Amino acid sequence: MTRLISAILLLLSSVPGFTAPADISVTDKVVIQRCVIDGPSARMIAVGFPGGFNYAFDAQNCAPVYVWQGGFVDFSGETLGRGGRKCEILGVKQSLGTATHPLRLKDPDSLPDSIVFRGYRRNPDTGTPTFRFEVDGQLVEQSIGSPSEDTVQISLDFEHTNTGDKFYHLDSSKHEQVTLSEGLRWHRPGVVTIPSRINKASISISLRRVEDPFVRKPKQLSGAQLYSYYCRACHSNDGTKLIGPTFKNLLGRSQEITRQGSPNTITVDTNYIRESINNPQAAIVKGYENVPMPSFVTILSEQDMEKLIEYFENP
Amino acid sequence: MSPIGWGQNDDRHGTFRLTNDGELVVTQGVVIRETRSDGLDKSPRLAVGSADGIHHLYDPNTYSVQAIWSGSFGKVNENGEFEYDESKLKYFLLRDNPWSFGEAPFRKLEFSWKGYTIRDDQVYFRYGMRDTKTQISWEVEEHLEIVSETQQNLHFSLEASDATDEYLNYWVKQTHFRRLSTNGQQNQRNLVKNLYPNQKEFTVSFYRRKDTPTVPHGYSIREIPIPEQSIPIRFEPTDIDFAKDGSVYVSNRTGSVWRLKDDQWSLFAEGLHEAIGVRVAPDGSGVYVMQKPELTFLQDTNGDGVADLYSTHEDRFRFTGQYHEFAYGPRINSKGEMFFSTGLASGSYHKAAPDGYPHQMGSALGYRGWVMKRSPDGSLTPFASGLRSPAGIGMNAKDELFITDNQGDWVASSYLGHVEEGDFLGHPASFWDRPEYGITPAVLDYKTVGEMPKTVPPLDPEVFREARKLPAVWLAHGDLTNSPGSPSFAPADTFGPFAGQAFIADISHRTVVRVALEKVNGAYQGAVFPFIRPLVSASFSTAFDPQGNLWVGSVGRGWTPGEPAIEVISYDSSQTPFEIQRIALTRKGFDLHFTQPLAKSEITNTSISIIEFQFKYWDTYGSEPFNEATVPVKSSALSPDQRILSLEVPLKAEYIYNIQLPELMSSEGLLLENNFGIYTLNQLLP
Repeated sequence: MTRLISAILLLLSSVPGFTAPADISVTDKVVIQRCVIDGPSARMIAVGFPGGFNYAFDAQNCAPVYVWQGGFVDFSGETLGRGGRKCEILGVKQSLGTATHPLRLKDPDSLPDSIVFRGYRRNPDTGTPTFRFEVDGQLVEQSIGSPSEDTVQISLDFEHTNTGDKFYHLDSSKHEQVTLSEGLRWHRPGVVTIPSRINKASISISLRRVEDPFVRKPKQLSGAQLYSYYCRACHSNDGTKLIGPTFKNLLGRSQEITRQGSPNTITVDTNYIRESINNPQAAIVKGYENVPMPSFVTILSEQDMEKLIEYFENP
Repeated sequence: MSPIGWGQNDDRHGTFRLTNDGELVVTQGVVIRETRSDGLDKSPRLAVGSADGIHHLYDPNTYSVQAIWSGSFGKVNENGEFEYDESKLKYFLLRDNPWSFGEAPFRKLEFSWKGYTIRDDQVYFRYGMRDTKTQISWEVEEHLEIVSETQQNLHFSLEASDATDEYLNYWVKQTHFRRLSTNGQQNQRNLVKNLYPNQKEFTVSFYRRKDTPTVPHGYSIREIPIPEQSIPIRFEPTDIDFAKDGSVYVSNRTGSVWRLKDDQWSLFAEGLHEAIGVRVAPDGSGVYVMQKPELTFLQDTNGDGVADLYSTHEDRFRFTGQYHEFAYGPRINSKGEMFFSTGLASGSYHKAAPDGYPHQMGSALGYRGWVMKRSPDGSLTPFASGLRSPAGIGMNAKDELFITDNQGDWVASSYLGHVEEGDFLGHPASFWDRPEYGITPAVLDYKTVGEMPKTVPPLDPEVFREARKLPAVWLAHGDLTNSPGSPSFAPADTFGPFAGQAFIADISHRTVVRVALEKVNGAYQGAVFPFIRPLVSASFSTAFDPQGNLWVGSVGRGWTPGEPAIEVISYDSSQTPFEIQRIALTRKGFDLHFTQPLAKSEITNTSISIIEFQFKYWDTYGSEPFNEATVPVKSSALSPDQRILSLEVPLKAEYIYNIQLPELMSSEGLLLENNFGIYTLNQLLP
């Protein structure tokens, strides 16, 4: 249910959303996207499954950190402006109980001497990643799935057996229930023992229901901000000549244009502005034929358009 | 002297005639016409027509010169109104009321228009300015000296009512010009001209680019279709490489690697963290891709044409997630050693001059601003430091590594640098990672890679100044580049007479420039030349394919927005371009080597213009040319085969020489369109 509700809420909250075009959507295959998102390091990897289950893996500490259900990632941090800024996950973060790297191979309480991230394999059919890392020289492969709603299964595959007991740190205090695969046992609360002879282990976490459903906060850009993001590079608002015509005194001004090869003089109105944003080549302002403007039809929503026009009316 | 009001046609200082179709031709002196302004409440703009043929437009409403144009001054329409041809205007793009006072937050001034004065066929616009805070006022006389279509000098005479130790600022927009210079103080970053306090005679010189496209003879540009973009993941080619099976691999900003094989695009890898570099493994077993957090090896293990194994090859450098912490590369030498570079953070973390320019790039340490070497045995060596935003990395056929860095703090102008082990190329924020500081471990691990030191010791400018290796070639900010990408080195014989030379694309200029290096006292220096322009969009990545064609990828994002594109520049070997092939330093001056014999022409010493200048090494964003002077050409001589022009000029080490030739023809009758080169003279010949 939660997943469905999240998905509906996401839909509802994003109907007029500015951010929707920058959302990475998950359709029939698992999507992996590396970008800066919430997490203990900047080397985060977001994994989104069809159906709305997502998790974040920290490639610096080699740890699965949290899951969320609903939408995947709003990528506008990467696509707006100069990019490289933080991207937002589209759901409520639920911890997997591992603040840093969870494995201890020597004794339950000593941090590994070395952890080396080795990357991931992708299943060619489903796209599912299996993360690969070395802990104190031993290769570990880890995958995560969600066999049913509100359940997360962490699977670990160790390169060797009989190298001593292994320990997995897991703060389960915020989880409904934790189920261990055969042979695993609790060393003490918060620490699971994976016995020496076992090289394939899985830990299933039943998540608590999210109490505060995810409500997307669409980034509402004002008309001036929209102008500044999308238009200002080419169109000044102070009469300065840039690549494109200035927007100074735009509405109501008389403009020489070329439509279908024929010159014409029009008075700029909101219909002309709409047309020029959606289909810039339809009527080109005289003198600007050589620098074609890209269409913004897929970039600006109707609401954005309204705001921009409002801005042109009252700059 | 005839001070008058304005808003009138003024024919007292020149003569004109009207042609039958109403064209107003200035025959002597200057003629002033009022022209309509944008708003009804505005006063007319003043069009100044000159018998010299280059006219200008001044707006008394905004106290700013608007534009120049040449040819016809304008027409008188049937209503008797004067009209100029707006499409011919070349703008100055000044702000309205371009002056401000003090430091940020800059104070606006009150303006009052006082009319204009004409002396010796020159128009002097006059106005008053007043700062309401200090009550200081200035009487300004402004005058545009039109040297040519590509150079105009804006002169101001300023009489201040009181002395002040604050700056009077004049706002300009540098990026639209080839170069700006001033006798005041320039800050290119903020596009501000700072006047030294109470400077009375102040000049801003605007150097414009020629607006004609240049494609060298024998070369052609072809655009190739790119894959359809699926927003928000875009096709933004950041690097290009070629596999032995004929595949072309293209890395993309939003994290994908596309593959072009038999004219079909397919998505090879996706989901990467800003992929800004791609190299096919020398043994063909996979593809290396540089992401912001790591260097990754991509392999297609099941042969379906899509990478399924993403192996982390190297990530032992700090990455905090600051947007400007880019990573570039790799480049692979014949020993299989891999080199990649890391950019500094924008305005964050530790800054080399903590009390200096506030927007300096900073470092979280952990090998930011470095070139790193990853060896086949798995070891990682901090190889060279001193980089700011090294958007370009390239290796020539001799395994020599080069980077381009982008203008900013401590980087006076974008440059091409030769990188050897241990080098420090100038940006001091990388200095703390050097072993003598004992702060950053030689090799980072999972425990140390995330730990930015909270404090760092002060850096001694004397020490890093002494350690600095000079750029091989300054890419002359504004003149030829603003934001250069990776250098690609021309093959031996398939790309014209430029074997081994570096070709570099520039995002802002939509161009490819050419660099010819030579070794002097064992160190590279040389000249940069214009090559081809304009390309369709924000050109960034370059690569030579096995056939010797130059591929240029345009990212579509950046200072010059546009659509992403890939263009291929090809050379027709039956043709010989006419270019300055290289500039060689001699003991007496320069030898200019041409790709074709010059026509026997009257090259005179005075027809060659050489300007020398230097850049500052400082924390400020960029540097205007300093110690700029015209260098007299004492003699010029053409070799018997007419291919080498020897110039005798006085030379100085650590100067840059901008050598501009007149319009020369080859013996075959080609015009030398790219008729200048900028030589970086770090060292004189012994």
